[in-house]
Amino acid sequence: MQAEILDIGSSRGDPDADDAISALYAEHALGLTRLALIMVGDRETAEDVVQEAFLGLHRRYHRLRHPDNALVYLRSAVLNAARSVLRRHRLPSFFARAYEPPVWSAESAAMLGAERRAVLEALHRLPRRQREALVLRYYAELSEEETARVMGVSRGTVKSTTHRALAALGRLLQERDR
Amino acid sequence: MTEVNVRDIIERLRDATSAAGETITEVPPLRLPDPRPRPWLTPLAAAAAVVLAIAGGVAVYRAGFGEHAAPAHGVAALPRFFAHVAGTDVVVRSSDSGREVGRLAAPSGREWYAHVAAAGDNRTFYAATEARDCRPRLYRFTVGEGGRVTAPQALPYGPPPGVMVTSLAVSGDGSTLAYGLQSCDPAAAAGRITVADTATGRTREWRGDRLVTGLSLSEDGRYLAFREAGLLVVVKDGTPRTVVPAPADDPPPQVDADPDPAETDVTSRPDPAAEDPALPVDADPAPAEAEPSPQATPGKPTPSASPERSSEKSPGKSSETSPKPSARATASPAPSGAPSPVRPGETETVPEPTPTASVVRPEAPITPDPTDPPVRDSYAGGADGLPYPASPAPEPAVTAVAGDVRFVRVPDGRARVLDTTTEPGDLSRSRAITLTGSWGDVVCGVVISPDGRRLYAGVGFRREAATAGVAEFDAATGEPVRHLARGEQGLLCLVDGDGGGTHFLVRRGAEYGVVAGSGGYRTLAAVGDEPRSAAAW
Repeated sequence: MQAEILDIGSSRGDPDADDAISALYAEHALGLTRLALIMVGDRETAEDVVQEAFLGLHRRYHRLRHPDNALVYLRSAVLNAARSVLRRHRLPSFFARAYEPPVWSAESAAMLGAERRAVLEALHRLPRRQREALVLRYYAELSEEETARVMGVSRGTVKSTTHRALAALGRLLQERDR
Repeated sequence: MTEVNVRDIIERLRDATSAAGETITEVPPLRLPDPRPRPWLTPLAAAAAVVLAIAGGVAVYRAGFGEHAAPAHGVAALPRFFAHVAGTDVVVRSSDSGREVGRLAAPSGREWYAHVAAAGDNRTFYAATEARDCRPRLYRFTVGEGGRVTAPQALPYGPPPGVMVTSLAVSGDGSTLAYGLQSCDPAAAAGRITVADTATGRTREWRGDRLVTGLSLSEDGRYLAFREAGLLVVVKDGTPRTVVPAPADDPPPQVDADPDPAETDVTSRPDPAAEDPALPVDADPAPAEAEPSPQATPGKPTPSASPERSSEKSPGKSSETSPKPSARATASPAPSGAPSPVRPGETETVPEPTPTASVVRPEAPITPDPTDPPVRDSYAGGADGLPYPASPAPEPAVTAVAGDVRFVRVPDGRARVLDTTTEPGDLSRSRAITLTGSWGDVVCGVVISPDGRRLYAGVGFRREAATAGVAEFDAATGEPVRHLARGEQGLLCLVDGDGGGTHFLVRRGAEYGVVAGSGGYRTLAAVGDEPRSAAAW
């Protein structure tokens, strides 16, 4: 590895990297797990997804050009892993099926109520990119620019995708409300 | 939708997602891997100290230049498992016993496994398929301690429709996946390489004007070694005819491939003596080859171009089980067709092209049928039409078959190294390293070292099997450094490294074996039929 990309040193066996990643985990694990939960529907899978994302970061920490990229990386990894999970479970996801994912179904049903479940269910009926754009923009509160980096698309794409997604979500909810 | 509606929807969305998120209030502790380097991270420098346990001693192989390698005892842990493509499946075997411990059956009758790659932990494997509809997919599977193979998971990213995967590699740390692609149009001679981050699925792509194959990644995925290959169109009809190399690309050929013609029947290569420029050898250069050349005697090899195949996998096979005859190759820049793979057992539906003088273009898609007999059965001598004295001939990869026409991918005698941290785009910005020369005129399989500084290759002289072996080269200068193993029983085709530079998976004749960094060869498993280079550990 060359110095130019070694802003933060090699991770393997590098205590600094371990510390840096541990600090990132302390700060962002909860938020990322919640993000993962919204994407995959159950807590256990969400925790696994986040754990995997951090391990992935650990493996390539030394390749990050800048520490700020770590969070972008983690969010991308979470979304990617969520995609794999959903694909494995056959879309539509748990939300769309019954909104009663294996782990937190019972409580969630009680805690969230019908209205919220309906919104989540509709969210999970959207195409993958639209769902990701909405969750990153309005749940994670990322800017269009940040959302674009996480999704690996242009800012214009985020804008148009978000626009279409809101319209689609509106239609789905309207059908239900009717 | 009105503005109010939009705001309302956003509000409902925030409310629902926040409420869902807040059902989680704490997370489990982070479990980072043990900081101690894993065994497979053993630095190259330590490799020399490692000895391979060789059961019965294999005196045939010598380490270094002529010294006898003492068969060793004990020690160095071999990767526990290795996987290889067999027919349409992936078979996982124990390195100790050579026994099959698990198998992934082809995903469907229309999609079958063609490539396999292993991360350095020897537990995480990736596989790529070929499909009749030309929509290849990538899969990941793991092998447990006891050898239990998990069900493969299709990756959410992968090649676009309309292409075939030519080679698959994963970095030792598992962070990076790289795959070579070529159009399903069997006559297309361009290639591209996609490098994917396995965690995010983000991909970057490099393109070149030659086919690519034999991918190998360094430990951290930064350096990618690959080989370029020429496209050869071979027409079976009794008399081999012309070989035309693919579009000319690179400048003159590097040597490599040229073997000597001598021996065998000659194909007509232009004079042998000379370096044969005319040889089609790698597709390189010049179209020189347009000349025809070869002919082969029946039954023997035919034409073709170049050399060795690399490690690729090629399942190639021809589809026809039929006679193997001779073939003629045309060069071609031919045309295109669409590919479709032919699957085992099925009949070909491909239209038969009519060979024309120089260009043959199948009209339907074709892909090799994995169950067909290996290429070398049909082309006894290997891609260049020259027979190999020793059994293990590196064969070219047949990528498509239509009637009597075969499209064959033939790697040249060089390797190229790409720094994947550079801007994606043009493959020609990678560095070319010639591996043929004083240690051999045939290259079969190239693997890059974990640190990206060395290249290992199966090399040998076509006419002198005795000198075939696995050699180490400086990845920057191409200088040969040392021979890890040399033997007299035929060419060793290098298939994969173990991530530590200590054990190399090789293919020789009808078996897979291991070569230790300290020298020596041991058979891992005889798999009958021609083993493919589509294997990994």
